[in-house]
Amino acid sequence: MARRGGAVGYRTSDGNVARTRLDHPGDRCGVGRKPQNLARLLPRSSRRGSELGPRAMSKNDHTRTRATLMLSNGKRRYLTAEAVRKATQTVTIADENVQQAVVDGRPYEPLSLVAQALSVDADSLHLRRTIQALQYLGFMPRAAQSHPSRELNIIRDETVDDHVDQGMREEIPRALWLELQRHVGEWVAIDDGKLLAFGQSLRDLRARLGDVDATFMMVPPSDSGEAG
Amino acid sequence: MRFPFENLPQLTARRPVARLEFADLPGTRFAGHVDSGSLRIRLNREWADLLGIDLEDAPRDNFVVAGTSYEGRVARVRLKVAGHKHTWECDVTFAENYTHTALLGLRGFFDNFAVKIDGLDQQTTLTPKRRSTP
Repeated sequence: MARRGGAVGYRTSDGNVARTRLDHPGDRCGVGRKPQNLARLLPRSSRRGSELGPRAMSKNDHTRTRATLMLSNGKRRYLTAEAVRKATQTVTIADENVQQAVVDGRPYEPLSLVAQALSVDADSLHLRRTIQALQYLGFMPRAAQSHPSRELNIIRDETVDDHVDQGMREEIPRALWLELQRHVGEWVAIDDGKLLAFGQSLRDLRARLGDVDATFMMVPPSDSGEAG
Repeated sequence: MRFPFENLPQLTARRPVARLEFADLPGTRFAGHVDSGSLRIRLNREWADLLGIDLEDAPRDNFVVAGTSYEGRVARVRLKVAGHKHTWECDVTFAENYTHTALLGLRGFFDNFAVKIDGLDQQTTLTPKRRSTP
């Protein structure tokens, strides 16, 4: 580590001084792709100092009262410690075999707990983000706190949506999923999260759309059961 | 090639899904449920009609999905990962009145890719095991 002008930094492999490990993509932190964005993912209080390792996310858990959580539809919601505690009044105690969030000494299943706290469907929650939010609020222990790279990996994975192939983003958002319930037994054509057309026959539907690219599927009846 | 888990109609919870298309029908995608419990790729017969495949003398392949029996016919087709160049040839079962989501099973799909299903990150990663079919 090197100091320059009062700021704490790191001596990088090419001899320069980086303000944080993430400032220098070539350094061994596994997050060289978008370092500036990664730093932004951390809570403001964690950006102080020189390191984005475990120290940044392990102190003062008990004082944190609010975490930002991105839902699967891309919307952000604030998860407060108060809402989590309130949710425990209606969520049942977790089975010992599942991952557990611990609130006031009692274990709860993370997705159910946060879904209740935010009044959203559990399907709209991303498990890793949910766990991170609960960890941030101090309701879940962090795995492998002793090794900085593990902590950084979690941060890196937060940006994983950036790397999902272009054009391959979720095609059936929750709102469309509900809309499709009105077309049970019919063929539907969807693109970019929107219902383009529907009909009784795949051939007719394809012909009707001409050269328009789309995903085609038949909406199964609700009593068709789960495959697998 | 990565695909986020998706909500498929009538299935609870987000599932591993890959979007494919037929090489002979560019731009006509289908969402397939990545399902190692399925032996083959299962599709509705209307896809074969759209492709102009005659299934009259095709080999039979009867199967059961979610408690429902289907009489299928097998045909060899060329598939493509939607949005990518990778294509491959494989057998697909087309079944009359098949109403479930397309299933991507062991033969035809899993034997062409190393498939990584990451339930925590909710995404499926496909790594081709063979060269793309020209």
